[in-house]
Amino acid sequence: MNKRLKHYANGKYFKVADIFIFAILLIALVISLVFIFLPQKGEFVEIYHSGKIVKKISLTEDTVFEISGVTIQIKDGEVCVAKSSCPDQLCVKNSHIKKEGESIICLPNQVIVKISGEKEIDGVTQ
Amino acid sequence: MKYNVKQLAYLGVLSALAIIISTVESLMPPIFPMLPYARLGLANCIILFTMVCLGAKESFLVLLLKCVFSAIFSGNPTSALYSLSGGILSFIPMLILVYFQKNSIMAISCLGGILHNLGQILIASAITHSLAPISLLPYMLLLGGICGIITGLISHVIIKRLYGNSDDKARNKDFGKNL
Repeated sequence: MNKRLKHYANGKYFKVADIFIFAILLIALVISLVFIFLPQKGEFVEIYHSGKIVKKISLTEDTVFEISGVTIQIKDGEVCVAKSSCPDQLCVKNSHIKKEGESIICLPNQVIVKISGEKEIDGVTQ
Repeated sequence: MKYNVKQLAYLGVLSALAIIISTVESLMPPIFPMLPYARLGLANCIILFTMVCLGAKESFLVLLLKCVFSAIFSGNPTSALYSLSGGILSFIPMLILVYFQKNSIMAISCLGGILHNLGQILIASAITHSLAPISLLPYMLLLGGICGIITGLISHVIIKRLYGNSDDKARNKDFGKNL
């Protein structure tokens, strides 16, 4: 215990073996960057509540939809949360989303608004 | 596990520090609107310090106390789950690296920060039953790495100032485990 403390207290700020750690960071970044630059313009807006899909709306229609205290507004091809009953209001402050894969999450109300681009048969309601 | 009063006092002060830092951090507004719950992770500084100076059991205790009580005090009890998952995922590799003594503290802290954010995102995915939080992964990993490096620098400087220079007898005190 004493040896370890002395080793770190008198040690250098960077060591040779740090390269491995920074390599891990770089690899993780590169892999996750793939997920940002792949998606294209979204087609549908999927709204999930407690993990189950509630509604699937096309991104082109301007609609206002309310679920579990969260008011979701689709306008001009963008989705935003207009009002919410959650205490932190982080979902309202979140920026508008329009790309496939982007999402707005309201954890207290367990609502997720996601943009998807797959052409499926109409989603499930209720 | 028998501790004397001095060791208990040290553990208490460290835990209190970690809890206070974590609570105050969680009360600050988020810097990026798309990344709520992305914090500076300064309490990792205390955990790393405890790992280096005291040991595995003590730092695990500080980690548990920090996660539980900072969640209670910041008014958001469910954040304990996120905090705990990120903390435990980052704790074990950090502990292994500290015991191996091959890396610098900044790199260990960097890895800890990355794994902490990864653990938080995984738990968020599991709880909401969707892959939506994974789209935040690159930003969180990058921020976690950078903040980890900053935290590691702070940790290293503290340890160096307190326990470096073995010639100086006045500062050569053992931290409390061997008293």
